[in-house]
Amino acid sequence: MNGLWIPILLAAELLPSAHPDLQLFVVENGAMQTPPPLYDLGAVAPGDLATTHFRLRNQSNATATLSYLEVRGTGFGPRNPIALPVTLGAQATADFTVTFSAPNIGAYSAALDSEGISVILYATVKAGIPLPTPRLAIDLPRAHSAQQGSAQVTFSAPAARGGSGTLLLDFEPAVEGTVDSMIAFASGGRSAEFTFARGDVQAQFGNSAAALFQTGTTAGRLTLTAQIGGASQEATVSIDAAPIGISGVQGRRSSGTIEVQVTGFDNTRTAGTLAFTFFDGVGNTITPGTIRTNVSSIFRQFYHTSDSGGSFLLRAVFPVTGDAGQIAGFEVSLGNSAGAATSGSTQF
Amino acid sequence: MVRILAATALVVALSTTATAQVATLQIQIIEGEGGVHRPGSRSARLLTVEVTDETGRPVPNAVVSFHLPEEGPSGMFPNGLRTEVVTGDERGRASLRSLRWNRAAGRLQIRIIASKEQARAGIVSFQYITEDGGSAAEARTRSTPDKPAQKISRHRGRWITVLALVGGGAVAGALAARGSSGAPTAQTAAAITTPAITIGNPTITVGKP
Repeated sequence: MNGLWIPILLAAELLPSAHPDLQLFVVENGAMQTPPPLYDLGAVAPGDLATTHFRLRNQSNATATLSYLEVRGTGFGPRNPIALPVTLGAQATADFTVTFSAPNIGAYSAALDSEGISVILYATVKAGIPLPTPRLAIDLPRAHSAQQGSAQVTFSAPAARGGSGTLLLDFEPAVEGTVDSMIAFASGGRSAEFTFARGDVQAQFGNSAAALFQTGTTAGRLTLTAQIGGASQEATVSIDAAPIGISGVQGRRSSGTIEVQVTGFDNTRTAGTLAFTFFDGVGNTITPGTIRTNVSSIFRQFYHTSDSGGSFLLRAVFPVTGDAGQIAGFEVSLGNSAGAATSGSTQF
Repeated sequence: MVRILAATALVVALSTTATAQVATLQIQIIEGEGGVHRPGSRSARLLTVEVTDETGRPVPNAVVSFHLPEEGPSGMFPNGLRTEVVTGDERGRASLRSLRWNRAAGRLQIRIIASKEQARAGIVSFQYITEDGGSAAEARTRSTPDKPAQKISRHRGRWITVLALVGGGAVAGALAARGSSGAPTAQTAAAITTPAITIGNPTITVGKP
């Protein structure tokens, strides 16, 4: 028998190889390494996903054809990670990903075979793998009303397992009973879901690493809370009372009247004192000079029913005797409990 | 010859505390009022004003500033700004030598303020920028919906006189403050007014933006 086998083995050694000259690597954090014959994907929680990136490289200086690559084993996949055949130029590579997930606790294995390469993949599913503890980072350059900030949830170490959590936005107004629906996440509402995978150091809000939020138009205290399982972290931002924010001023002249429109917000809900000054083309103040009025009751009534936070549109219509066309511009000042805000000169 | 057709404002500010000498300036446009210009064109020797005292004698070396609008029909002075300052000559005359108009068609006002020591005087010059291919008459009509075009175009000289009391200086101060910063001050007894216009108390409404 031995005398028969020796020539066959010698002949096999002398013949050209039946497989292309490929080498398998594991790609982790940008580095490549050759996997051992038994490669451990690690431990995961039931239903959690373990992912490993592989790379096949044509080691020769000639074109090679990859026509066989298969992953076989319960919980591992995909069975055919690459659509075959693939032509690889000299030193060219082909990347693919193998995942593992299983619902039940236990040890699992699979065979990864390709063109004379064979690696056993191994993974375990076990209970008690901890969720990461969230850390909350707030980016809000100016802690004022009408601003946009962002919140990120990070972990002190790569997550040992994947999962999800919730970021909550709460608001305590400085004036009790004040409602401000503008205080919300950009995605809508005051709750934002985030997810993370095993190995992540930062949670994802959909496709974004941060959740954007609006500070609204009301003074008070914003509280953001990140929750994962039973762990949470909180961050608080104070939005101080401020003079009225003027976002737009417009003037319109017509026969016998002029109309001034001011859009803005009052984060104190105490707006009331108004002062209007009109100028002619040379900059002279027009009779009767600065016109002052207090409309606190009108603002109070408006805010009592408004659901737009502190935002408002003020319209002031003035009767004019004489040629309104000579009124070239105006300035308006609005006051609240935090001070007065002035529009600057506006031309008709 | 220059004719004075309208005195748009004559305001005298009195100060109960002022006892110093009175300085009065008058400013008059003697050349270039109501000019019509093609969009994007350059004008040379556009405007000439004359600064005199209350007796009509020229006031030499008065400082005259010309202010173009920040928006809409306007232009740019050679200094790259919309404000130019010129010192008057011995005859009290100051000329705006060069200006490039922008391409926004319509009527525009050039605010002109003359100053000499404590006294100030201001006047407005109306100019017109036509649309490409448009006529002067079209430019005037289009840009002055609230005034007859011919009335404006014939205003060869309009006067604004400011009588300042040296020492009190309230009127001059108020005008100077407007001219320098554009930020109006609160209404005071010395504020300058145009008697022909009166603005009444407003009707206020507040609603959602």
